[in-house]
Formats: sequence, C-alpha cells, structure tokens
Amino acid sequence: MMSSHNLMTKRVLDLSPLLLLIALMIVFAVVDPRVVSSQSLINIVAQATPIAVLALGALIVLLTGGIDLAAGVGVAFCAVLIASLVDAGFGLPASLAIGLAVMVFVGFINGVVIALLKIPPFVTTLAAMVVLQGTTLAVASKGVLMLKDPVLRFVGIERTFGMPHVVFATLMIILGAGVLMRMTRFGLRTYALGSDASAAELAGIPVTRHTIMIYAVSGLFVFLTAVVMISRVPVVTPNIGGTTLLLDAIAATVLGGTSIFGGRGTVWGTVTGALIVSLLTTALRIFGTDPSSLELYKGAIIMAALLADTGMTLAKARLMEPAR
Amino acid sequence: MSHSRITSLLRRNEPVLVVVLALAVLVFGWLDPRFWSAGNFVSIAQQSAVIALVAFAMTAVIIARGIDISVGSTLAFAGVAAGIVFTSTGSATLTLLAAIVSGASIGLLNGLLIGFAGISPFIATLATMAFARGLSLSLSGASSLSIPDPAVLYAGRASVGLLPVSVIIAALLLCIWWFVLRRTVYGRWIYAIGGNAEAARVSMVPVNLVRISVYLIAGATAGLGAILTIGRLGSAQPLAGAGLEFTAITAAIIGGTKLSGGQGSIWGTAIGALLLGVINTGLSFLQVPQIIIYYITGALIVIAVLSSQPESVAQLLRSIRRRTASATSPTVPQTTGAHSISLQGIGKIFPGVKALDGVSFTVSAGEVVALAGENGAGKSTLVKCISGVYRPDEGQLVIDGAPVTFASPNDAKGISVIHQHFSLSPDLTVAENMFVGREPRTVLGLLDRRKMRIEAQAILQELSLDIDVDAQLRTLSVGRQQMVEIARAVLADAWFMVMDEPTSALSNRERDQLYVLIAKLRARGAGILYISHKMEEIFNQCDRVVVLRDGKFIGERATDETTEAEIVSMMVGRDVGDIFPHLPAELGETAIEVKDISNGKLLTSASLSVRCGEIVALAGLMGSGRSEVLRLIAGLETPQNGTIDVFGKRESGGDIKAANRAGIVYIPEDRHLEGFVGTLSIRENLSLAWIREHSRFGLLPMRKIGEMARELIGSLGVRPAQPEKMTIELSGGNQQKVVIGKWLATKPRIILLDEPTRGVDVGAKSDLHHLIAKLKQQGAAILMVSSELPEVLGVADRIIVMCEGRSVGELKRGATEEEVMALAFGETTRVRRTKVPPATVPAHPFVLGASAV
Repeated sequence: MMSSHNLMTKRVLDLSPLLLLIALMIVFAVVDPRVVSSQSLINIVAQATPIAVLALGALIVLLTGGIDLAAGVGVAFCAVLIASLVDAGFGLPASLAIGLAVMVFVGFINGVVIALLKIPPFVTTLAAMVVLQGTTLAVASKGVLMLKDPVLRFVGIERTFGMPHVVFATLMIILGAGVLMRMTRFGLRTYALGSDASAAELAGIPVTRHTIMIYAVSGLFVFLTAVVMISRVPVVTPNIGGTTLLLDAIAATVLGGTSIFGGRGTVWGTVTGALIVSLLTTALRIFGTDPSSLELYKGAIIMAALLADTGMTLAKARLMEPAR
Repeated sequence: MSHSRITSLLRRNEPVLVVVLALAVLVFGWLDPRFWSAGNFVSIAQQSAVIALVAFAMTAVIIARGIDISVGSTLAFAGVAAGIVFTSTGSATLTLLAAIVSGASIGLLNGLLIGFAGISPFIATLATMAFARGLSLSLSGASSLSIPDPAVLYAGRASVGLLPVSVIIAALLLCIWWFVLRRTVYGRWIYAIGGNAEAARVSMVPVNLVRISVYLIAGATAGLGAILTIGRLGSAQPLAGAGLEFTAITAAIIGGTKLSGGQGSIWGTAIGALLLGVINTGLSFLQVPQIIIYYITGALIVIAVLSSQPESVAQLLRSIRRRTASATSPTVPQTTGAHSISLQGIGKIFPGVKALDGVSFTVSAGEVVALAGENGAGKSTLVKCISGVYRPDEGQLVIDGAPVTFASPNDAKGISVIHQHFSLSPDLTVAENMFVGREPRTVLGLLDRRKMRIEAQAILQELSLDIDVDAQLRTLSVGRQQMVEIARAVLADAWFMVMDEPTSALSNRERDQLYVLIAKLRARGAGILYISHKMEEIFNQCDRVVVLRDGKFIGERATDETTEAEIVSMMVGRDVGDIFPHLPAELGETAIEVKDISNGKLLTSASLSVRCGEIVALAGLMGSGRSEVLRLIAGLETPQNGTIDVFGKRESGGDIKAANRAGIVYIPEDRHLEGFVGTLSIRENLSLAWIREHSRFGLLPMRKIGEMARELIGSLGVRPAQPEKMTIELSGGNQQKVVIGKWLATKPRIILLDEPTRGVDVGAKSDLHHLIAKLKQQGAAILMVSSELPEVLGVADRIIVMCEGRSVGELKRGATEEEVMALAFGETTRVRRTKVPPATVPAHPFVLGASAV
C-alpha cells in the first residue's frame, strides 16, 4: 500500500478540478467581483450546459484514446436538421427522433470505419467532419431558422428559482452519464479498454463491437448537445457549435482530469471542467476582451491544461509504483 | 502469385498514382474539353503549389510519426504578422522575413509541446491551431490587411514565361526535400524516429531535437505558403488556409506516406497534391455543387488511408472468412466430470518455417505437465494453438474426447492462459478486473458491484490469497497481479491453465505462495501446462515433462522416471560445447573498471572490471540489477553513486555519445524495443549508429555504406543476404545479428551484451557465440548479461554474480552451477524441495531467472 503521505497527495491530485474551480472563483472575486455576482454565476452555469454535454461525449471517446473531431460540426448539423424538419412541419417529437437516429447512425458509421477498417480515429472523424460540414451548408439553405416551439422554450428559456430549466435537464443528462460510466457494463469496459487495450482483448471484451458502440454513444451526446443549444437559443444557423465548441469540450475534459493517454477520467471531473471553461470565457468577456481573441485564449488554456495533464500523469505514475 | 504482385505494386504508390492522375485528366477533359487548356493547367499548378509546399513538410512530420493540424492557422497567422510588419515598416524584406519567422515560431511551439513535453501530436496541434487562428483574428481585428508592395507579391503572382513562380518554388522545394530525405543523415534520422524512436535514441539519434526541428520546418513552410497566398490575393486574410492541413494530409497519404510512421515519399506527395488539384478543378468545371466536393474530399481521405494499409482490409476479409468457415464446428462440451485435453499431431506452418511439427501429448484434470524447450523451440506457438489465437495447420485438438476447432480465443472456453502480459487493466480494481468481460448484472441491467465484490472476495479466500478486492491493480506488485490473473481464470471456470514462466518475475516468498496455489488448483481438478526453464521447478511441481526442440516434439517423460541430464540433452540435442564455444585469447589492459555503482533505484552497489580479450558474464536472478549495470556503463542512464573508468579515464556517465566515443557499445535486452528499426532496411539499420560520425556535411556516403553493409552481412552471416530487405521481416536470430552489426560498425573496444541470444533459435545461437568469441580474440572486452546458465558457464572467462542490486561475488571459469546459484540466491543452504524422492533430486537447477519462450 502507499504511504499516507503519498495517499494524501494522490487525493489532492484526484480533486484538482474542483480545487482549480474554487481557486479561480476566489481569484476573480478579488480581481473583479462582477464575474462572481449571482446573476453572472447563473449565466456561467447556463452557458456551461452545452459544453458539459458535449464534453461528456468527448470523455467517453477520449477514455479509449480516440477522438471525435466531427462532434462540433455534428452539433451544427443536428441543430440545422432538427430546425429544418420542424420548419417543414414535422412537429417537434418527430424531428427530435429523426435527429437522434441520424446522429447515432453517423457515430455508428464512424465506429465501423475505425474498428473494422482500422483507420485511425482522427482521420475518420476528420473525414466525417468534412462531410457533415458540407451537408450542413446544403441543408441550411434558408440561412437562419427560427424555432418557436413552446416546449423548447419551456426547457431552454423559462426559469425556476432564477435557474433556467435547461440546467435541470442537463443535470439529468449528467446523472445518466454517471450511471452509464459507473454502473453499466459499457462503462466498465470502456475504462478497461482505455487502460490497456491488449489486456482488454485478452480479457474477452469484444473490442470491435465496443468501439463501434463508443462512437455511436458519442453521436448520441452530439444530439443531446444540439437539443440543449437550440432550446437555449432558438435562432439556428449553420455556425453554432463548430470547432469552438469542440475545443471547449476537449478543454473541459482535460481540465477535468481526463488523460489524453486514455484510461483516466470521470464524469464529475468533466462537468467541473466545463464550469471552469465557462467561468473563464465569461471572465474574459467581462474584462472586455474582444470576441475574436477568445479562440486565442482558449488555445492557450488548452495548452496549459495539456502540460498540466502530462505533469500530473507522471506524478501519479510515480506515486503509485508498487513496492519493490 | 498475382496477389503478392498486386500488394508489392501497391506498396510502390507512385506508378499507380501517375496512372490515376493521367486518367483523371483524361476523364475531366473528355467531359469538358475546356479542361485541356494550357491556361487551366497553369491555374491547377498554381493552386496546387501552396498545398504541395505544405504537404512536403507534412510528409516529413508524418514520416516522423507525428501530425500537424495547425499549418492552416499558422499560414493565416504568418500572413497577418507579415501584414502588420508591412504596415508599420513598409519594408518588403522585413515583411517576407516576418512571415517565415512567425510561421517558424508557431512550429517551434508545436515542437516543444510534442518533442519536449511529450503531448500527443494531434491534441497539441489542435490547441496550437486554435491559438494561431485566435492570434491572427485578434491581431488583424478580423479584417484583411492589404499589402500592395510588388516585391512581396512577386512570388505569388508573377510568372516566368508560362510557369508561375510559385510552381517553380514548389518544384525547387520538392527537389530539396527529396535530397534531404534520401541523401542526408538528417533525413535518415527522420525515418528512424518514425519507425522506432526508442531504437533510434539508443543508436545515438538526437530524437527530441529532430522532432522539434521537423515541426519548426513545417511552421516555416506555412509562412512561405502565406507569402504565396498574399501574392495571389494581394492581402493578408485572417481566415486564410482554412482546411489546408487536411488537404495536405490527404496529399501525403495518397502519396503513400503511412500514418504509422517510418515510411513515405516526397514524389508521391507531389503527385498526390497534383491529383487533388486536378480533382478539385475538374469538379468545379463540371459545376458540381459544393456539397459534393465536400463529400468527395471526405471520401478521398478515407480511401487514401485505406489504400496505404491494404493489410487491414485483407485482415478483415480473412476474419470474416474464418468466422463463416468455423460456424458449424462443435463447441466444447460443458461437462463437469474429469476433463482432459489431448494434442494429436499438431503442426503449424508460417511462411518459410515450420514452427511446430507432430506435437502430441495429453493433460488430464489434476495433472501438472511441464513444457520444456529452449528459446525458439516453439512453446509460445504451441500455446497460441491451444488457446485459439492460431489454428493448427496439421493435427487436431481433442477436448473431453471430442475434436474442437477454435475460430478465436473466445471460443476456447475452459482454457485459460496466464501470459507474461496479463489480461488485467491497471486502472481498474481487483474485483472489477476479475469480472471484466463476464460482468454480473442486476435486474435493471446495471452492474451488480456487490456480487462482484463478494464473489471476488470468496475466490481469493478459497485460494488463500490476501489481496484487497478494492485495491487498484496498479498498486499491486507483479507477483500479486499474477495471482489476480490466476484467480480470474479460476472464477471463469477454467479447468485447463497454461502458465508461461510464472515465477520469472516473482520474489522467493511469492514463488512459494504460487506453488501452494498450484497445489490447491490441482486438488480442485485443474490441469496445468507449466512452461519453465527451471529444472528444479519442473521436477518438484510437475508430474510429467514434454520437450520441444526446433518445433518438433522430442519426447515425454514422467518426472519420477527421468533425470535432469536426460531432459537437458533432449532440449539441446547436441553437445553444449558446440553452441557455447570457448576460444583462448590474450589478455590485454583493463578496459572497464566499475566501483560501487548505483542508479538510485534497483541497483545499489556493483563493482567489477573487464580486460581486453576476455568475456565476463553477469549472472543473477531477474531483478538483481544486471541490466542496470550495463545501461549505466553504456550511458543510457546516469549513475547516482560510484565511478566508471574506461581505459583508465574517469567517465561521468549518462551520455550515450561519450560512451560510444570511449569505445563502448550496448546490445539491448529487447531488440524490438531498442534494437532495430523495423521499417528500415538491413543496410539502413547497419549504418544507423555509424553515420553520425562518418558523414561529411551531413551527407550520407552512399557507396561506403553499401560496402560496409555487404561486409557486415557477410561476416555476420545475415540471412537472407539482401541489404534492401526490411529488417522486420527477418527471423529473431538474424535481427539480433543486424543489431550487433550496427554497433560493430562503430569499431568498439568494449561490447556490452544484454541477453544476446534471447528468443533466438539454436542454430543462430551458435553463430552468435562463435562471432562473440572471435571478437574476444580480436581484443575486445566483453561484458555479457545472461540468464541461461549453460551459456554463462560455457562462454565466460569470469563470472560476476549479482543478488538484489549488489555484486556479491566473482567466480573463475570452471565454477559449478551450484556455486553460481548459491551466490545468486544469497543463501548458503539449498532451497528446500517439496516432493521428489532423493534418488532423482537434481544437484542444481538449470537456469537462473527466465528467458522468453
């Protein structure tokens, strides 16, 4: 077993996302209290919702050392698809059902190409991204679509106790993700696969089938993200989501303790990471940074997070070496 | 026959590509004759120029096993930086410089993140992509910067006659890249790193520096591309270069560059870039809607990768065929009576070698049967045939009386192999690990964690194992992880277990615990096939011994009725002196003197000396610190304590190049990991360490390399004697010869060998030892680590024994195995025996530690 000193260090490392969030909030409270005013905090939580949902999908894929580059563009595609269907008179439930089916199918195809044809995930999802980008532009022939559905409005814009309902809906999604990862066969096998792929195969996990499922589930989360976004902002254009949202999601997972090397990562850590990203974005906006610089800072944040992740991975590995 | 010809043709992409290119031009022209105009071709060439430029650098990055998806954004940023410099200084020179330097600095950033911090390339360049795009947007205020200076615009829009300058630049870079990659040391290093970075590092290639430089060059190239783009547009656009990286990657992959690294060609990339330009232009000529162009781009990427790895398609088809073929085979009957597994005439053939021939024996429940044989005897192949990884080409497997065929390891129910690489996930807990793949579920379909913990607890208790079911596997020692692996097999109702050198990584105490566990398993009715080199184990733990040699079944004996000498002679088949020759040599000066050396971890204190003209063997159990001593002397690690003197001169250690200059070479333990680069040819591997010191101006002396390679291949006896052959395709023994040859080329005086004949067949073993003996006669000082006692006793002039991190004694030639063992175990009394009657007690164990099967 580890010495108690090592054990405590490990606990601290495990809790680092939460500690980082608290530390940042304290820093901003001192530097510019507007950032942590109650109104601002509610906004931060609300803006974190699409990031959190997409990040959860990214978590599942990143756990096995893969990547879904098409996720960001997929959100735009799904949103445009659903909005166009509603606009064409399909009614909300049917449009949602079709959107879900299509995104899961896209994920399924990605998974098949990755698992069966052994084409690396980033190339496959890269190609998928290109294809989805083109399709989005084609489907969004009208340019801008307005969604006036009262159910969506209820979920996205109405508030109770000052908190938009979308937050509660996202909480349910988060809970579902937590159950999926901790309490199902799928979750355990995903961790096993990411921890040591050849061992997982020896252990009898159907790697091909599982990989396909992982990317299909990623498609599911892309769908959920799209729904969250169109409920919050009923103006749907082909530009929502996109690479910016994908970067936010990846930053959220890395800040939340997911290792790019696979095998490590938690749902609660990812959600905390999403909150951190939303907090930083809001703070930058309040400080008056112009919107075109946002990507710049996001990129810098991801780089810092990646360096920290590398450092933490090394530290943890050294801590946990068995006694010789 | 034609199948192999097609695959070899596909391996050379360029001819196929040229044909496809010609076809595309013909087809588009036929569909719309305007396509065949000179003006159109010029336009295509101009468009392809920037792509080609970036794609060349991308090819080098991919060959080095990396990827760079930030080049598009880097191009934009470089353009914006150039625009800003122009606006503030008005100088054309500074503007052009700014573009290249800013591109290079983003490239340097990438290089540091990837080469230094070790961050995965696509995530790192994803972050840089955002960063660079953000920089270009914010610095330019999201608007374009006009640059009307004709000097700056020249490269992008001027033409010399009919040829645009940009095309000339691209063609120039093509030649430069071709030359660098094929004819310079730097280029060779890029290929080496991409093929096997660890082996490259050990071969004195400056891996980190080369990696950083490759990304820096990619960034600088993006800067050059920015100049050309500014020339074409007349201004710097903050959104320029969008999608450029993907087109560049596609061009490289179409051109035959493999994403797995180590292989690629610049000419292929050039043709690939042209092909993409033709397709793009042709499609817009046909007024194909934009969306279709997106689709085709996406499809091209996938097709390009697929065509670069035809093996994955072939493997897919093969596994589909295998699955349908065995769909009707009978499954293993799930009886709970006494089980038995019977091998009848099992044979397995690989291209060029018969790995198994006529193996027949039976194991019944409650028996422990040993499988003995030297390295390369076929033990691991046999295990793979039993467990369903391979299908035997001859003979059959009979389980519980019925013949069975396994399509995959999952079909082999009831059979469990305890590998040296466990089937356990380090990040999961013990309980989770025991149930992965067979998880129990509650009524709601969720994991029944309570049941998992309870059952895991129960089985661990039954096997008397004191392991915490909630502990993360990573925190357990190797020995305890092995127990978990065995417990997992028991839980899965495996009645037949194959244990592959189970005690090789265990401490004394854990080994005894394993023996108790085996007795328990035997009482439970398990049948065990026990692979081991250690005679004492075989005679104490096993009822019978099966011996393989060179893939053939030699014989089977009951341990009660045979002696160690008989088993040894069956395993080796000839006089040990033949394989392990000893030649006399003149002793020279002291080459190495090591005092009290330690690496701060496993190795606490070792002292020894080696003179020219002698072979000193380092003997001891696994984990006694022998390899660590060699690695410290070789400069692969830095000593924390102690001193190393080479020919009387004090060496500070930790520097591979300094060690090599002093005349030291190190042949590593794991040749696949650190020995050779599989994707390079024999000739390229042989020259890999030599080129650093012997290339003028960084140019490869091709003729000298060719001569040297032919000489080495001849004197080492490398087979097949084809310098162009890819090293990964050679047999283990020949690969080892190549590794040794690489280091012999640097004319060493001190040779450090770490398990030189591991995983090598008997014939090659003899070749290698004759070679080593000759080197000794020529005056080399040789320090050899070996776990095979006959090797140590046969070849060494002196034997230094290590135990638990310390050198504990020195023996002269002629020492007995008993003396070596006593020192290695650190005990003065013999290890106690458990079951065999005194008459057949072997006087000494056969081998220390373990070697791979």
